[in-house]
Amino acid sequence: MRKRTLATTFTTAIVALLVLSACGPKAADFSAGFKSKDPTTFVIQEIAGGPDTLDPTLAYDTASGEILQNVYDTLVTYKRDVKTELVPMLATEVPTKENGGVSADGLTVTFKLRKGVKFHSGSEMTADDVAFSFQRGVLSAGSISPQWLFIEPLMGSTVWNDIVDQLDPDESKGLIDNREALKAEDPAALAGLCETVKSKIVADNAANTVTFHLAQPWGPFVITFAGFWGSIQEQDWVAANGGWDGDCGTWQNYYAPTSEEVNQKQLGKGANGTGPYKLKEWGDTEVILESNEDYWVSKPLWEGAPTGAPKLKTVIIKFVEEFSTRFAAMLAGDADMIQAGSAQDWPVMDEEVGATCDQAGVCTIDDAAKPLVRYVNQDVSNRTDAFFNFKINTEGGNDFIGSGKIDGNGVPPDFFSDIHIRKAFNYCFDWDIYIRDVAQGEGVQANNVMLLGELGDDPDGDHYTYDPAMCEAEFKASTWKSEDGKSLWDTGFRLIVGYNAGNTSRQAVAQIFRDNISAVNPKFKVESQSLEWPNYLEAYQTKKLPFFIIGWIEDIPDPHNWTFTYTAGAFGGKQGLPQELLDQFRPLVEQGATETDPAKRTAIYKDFNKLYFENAPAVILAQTGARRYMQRWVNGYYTNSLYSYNYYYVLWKS
Amino acid sequence: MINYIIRRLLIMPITLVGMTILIFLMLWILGPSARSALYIRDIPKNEAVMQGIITKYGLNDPIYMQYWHWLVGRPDPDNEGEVVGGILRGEFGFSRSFSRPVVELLQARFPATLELTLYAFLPIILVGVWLGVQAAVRHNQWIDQLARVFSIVGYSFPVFVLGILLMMIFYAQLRWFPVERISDSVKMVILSPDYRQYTSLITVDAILNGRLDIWWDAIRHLVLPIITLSYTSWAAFLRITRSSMLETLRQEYVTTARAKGATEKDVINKHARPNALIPVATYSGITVAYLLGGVVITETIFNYPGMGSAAANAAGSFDVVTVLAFTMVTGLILILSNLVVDILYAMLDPRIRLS
Repeated sequence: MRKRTLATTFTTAIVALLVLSACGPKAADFSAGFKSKDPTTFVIQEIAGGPDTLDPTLAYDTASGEILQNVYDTLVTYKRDVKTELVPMLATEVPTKENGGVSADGLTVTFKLRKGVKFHSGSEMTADDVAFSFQRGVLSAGSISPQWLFIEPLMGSTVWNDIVDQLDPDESKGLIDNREALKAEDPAALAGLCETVKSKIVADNAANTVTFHLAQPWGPFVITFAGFWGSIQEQDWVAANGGWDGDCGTWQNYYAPTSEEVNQKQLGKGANGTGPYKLKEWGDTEVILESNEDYWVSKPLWEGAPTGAPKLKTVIIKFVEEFSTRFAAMLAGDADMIQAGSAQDWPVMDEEVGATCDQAGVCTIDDAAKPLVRYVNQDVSNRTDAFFNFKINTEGGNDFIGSGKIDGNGVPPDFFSDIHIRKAFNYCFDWDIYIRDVAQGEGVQANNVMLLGELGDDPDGDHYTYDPAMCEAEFKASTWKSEDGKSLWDTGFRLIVGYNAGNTSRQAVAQIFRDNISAVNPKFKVESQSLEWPNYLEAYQTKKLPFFIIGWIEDIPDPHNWTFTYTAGAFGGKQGLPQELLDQFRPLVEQGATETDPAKRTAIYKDFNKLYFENAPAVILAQTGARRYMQRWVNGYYTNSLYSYNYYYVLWKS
Repeated sequence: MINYIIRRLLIMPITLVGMTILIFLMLWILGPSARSALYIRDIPKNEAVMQGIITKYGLNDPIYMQYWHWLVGRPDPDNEGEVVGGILRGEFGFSRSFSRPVVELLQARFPATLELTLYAFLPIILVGVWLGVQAAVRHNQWIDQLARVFSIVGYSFPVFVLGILLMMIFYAQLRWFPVERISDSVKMVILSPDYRQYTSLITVDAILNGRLDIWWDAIRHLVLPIITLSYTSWAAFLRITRSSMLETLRQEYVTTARAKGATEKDVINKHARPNALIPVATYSGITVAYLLGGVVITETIFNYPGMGSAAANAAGSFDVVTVLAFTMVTGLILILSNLVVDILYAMLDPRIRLS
């Protein structure tokens, strides 16, 4: 989260002024072929934050993922920048029905493993290590981890998709994230559950394979292994560094860890993978990676991919809070790549751009003398949307809904149960303004819940557009009335939209609603309010926000990751979606995930999209393009939005 | 004199405790559920997580109990009979924003800030006092006018604006003086097992390791932060020294010294300057406080890895545990520096200790 203060804005203005005034001559090295001072060291300056933890079973943030995807390998990975095509990595082939890796019924998936792959510790990777990595993940889970992605297909769809659901299906025992309560469970039942997990993830050292037995067929199962949560760890190293050792009698002692717990040990602050980089240091200001000179890749994973030891011998990932400082480092040639704070910083950097590339990697030279290259309109895997709260919590008072009734000074707690209100809000949203304000015009309105172009996305299907007349009509059609029988249109309403301070995207959404709805009827007051993070989180958790604006980064390029989250999962739960609506969504969500035929899945998701449009439980916003800025001496760059920032193995410097 | 020092030392812990209580009272404004958000980075799927945090950290406990636990530790919920935390036990807790124990963070960041403030403090005193004396001695001459302009600009220039200007000109454009604390190539040498870190002060360790190249690199990195941090204080010292010196030079005993035939050099150095420095000594204590406040902005601008930038980062992330620890350390330094100033002041002016 970036705080944009007056000082920061002023800072940017000063930087812009200095850049525009070009108060000094460019040094010769920029105009002489753009050569780096140190071609073997790559320095990237990112916004302050840093990894949460380096334990791959727990990490679920981009900063941690960036380190993990460079230090660890996965069984399969994406084919360069193609999100829908996999290539084998630690596996020798991508399991399919055609090659026998996936059984005819889709319930058994077998990965054949490479031989001779070594961990950074020097030990050779075995099938046991691979199976243990996933057994440990499933059994350590907890709600703030990515392990639900494996638990759902392996154990069957449940409430939280957490392993303890198997012991507490109706949540009456409150075991979720509660290690102490879990340890008090019957030891035999605990050991039995562990054995069940082990029976579903089976290593065969002789055949050098690992087989997964699914509870149900699962369309996006194999692709799930491409994420950093699919990192392969060495069992002995984990056990020696404070983690579970694989004993079914003790797994509960390691359930639902926090990053604070694991980071006190090497388990969370160290790393031992098979990847192209070794962790040299994770400091408070930077992470330093050094090349794994014995990296196992001897044949390119895809055409044109590198082999052998990485070309970049050292990678330094710095966490720098101030944009002006990051930008100065770029101008001085001390940073090879920097993160912009937001789209508002783009124009400042554009002054120094000499080349522009698109998502396909087609580049044009704009100014031969300028040192930077920008990659524009880059593919993204995330989107921010606005979700209506069907049952606003009023316990202890709720300032967000004013008087709590239709009297011109508030709204009732179930205000959004009226479908006309939800539709009116949809018709009153101006996507063009949003794309202009948030992404300097680089973006496209989303059609459906899933990302544009993803399986199930239906560009020809129904979706809302900015239409003030329709917005007005829907408000007039609302059944809400004041106590004295006046219509909502004549009475008016007032509510507050909260967003977390510093989040310019959410702020823009709130302000667009504020402006457009009051333009339709001045008696309609939608006020936007900046909230500090603890207050925002509290209001969100306690369901006091009338509607919340939040982003989702997809874990896997599959519509299930969106449809589940937006209905039965994290966001749908917070919206308090009515049971009758959930009962309509759930079968479609489950059918979509368990169906393995893409054509049939497309048809299922078409129905889902139609249902979502008709009921309008949220305002689906836009996919805003991303940009990357780097020095012109950086080679090999491409964007894969499912990477956690950068995969350094493919980069090199002039 | 000894009694005076003992009295001052006895007041110290009371001041420190008062400071921590104040901070805790400010925290108390947030309810337990809002404060539980301070322990997590992102929105969890399940409210049970928040409840678990409230229970684990005792956020529903009365404020006095929470404060006590912070001081002496609290029972470990995972290991019966064990105690976790407690700043008096040397445990400041875990920094959520840096994903490491706060003690580790303090160990990493404190030497950097100490080095920066030490290098900044001496020039402030020497340059500020020298300029002030020169301006007073040459009252209304060109050097006095120049010193006035210098001090007015120093007072009116916001630190972050000055820092950014210096950075964009001398780093981004001219590349004379880099930012951060050390170059990346030098960092690799420091991290190597052959290099011994005796004090964690890079300039000192470099000399002890016989590496003048590292010393020079560290000095180059210090230039811009020192100028940024010092400029306002130079201006302040200049003005205080100048007015104090002018006032002293008008005293009768100075006139008497001159009448007795003392040289102008002796009049200024032996008679006027020592007395003129009494308010300067007082202000030096305030300067330490100002520097510790100033490092927050200066370190953030120059990405200098000290306590200031860490505190700013932690505050921005609502990492209360870290902010409290840094506040404690900063408070301790301020109280100690005030103690030194008070003793110094008492030595310079006997009337103080007698009262």
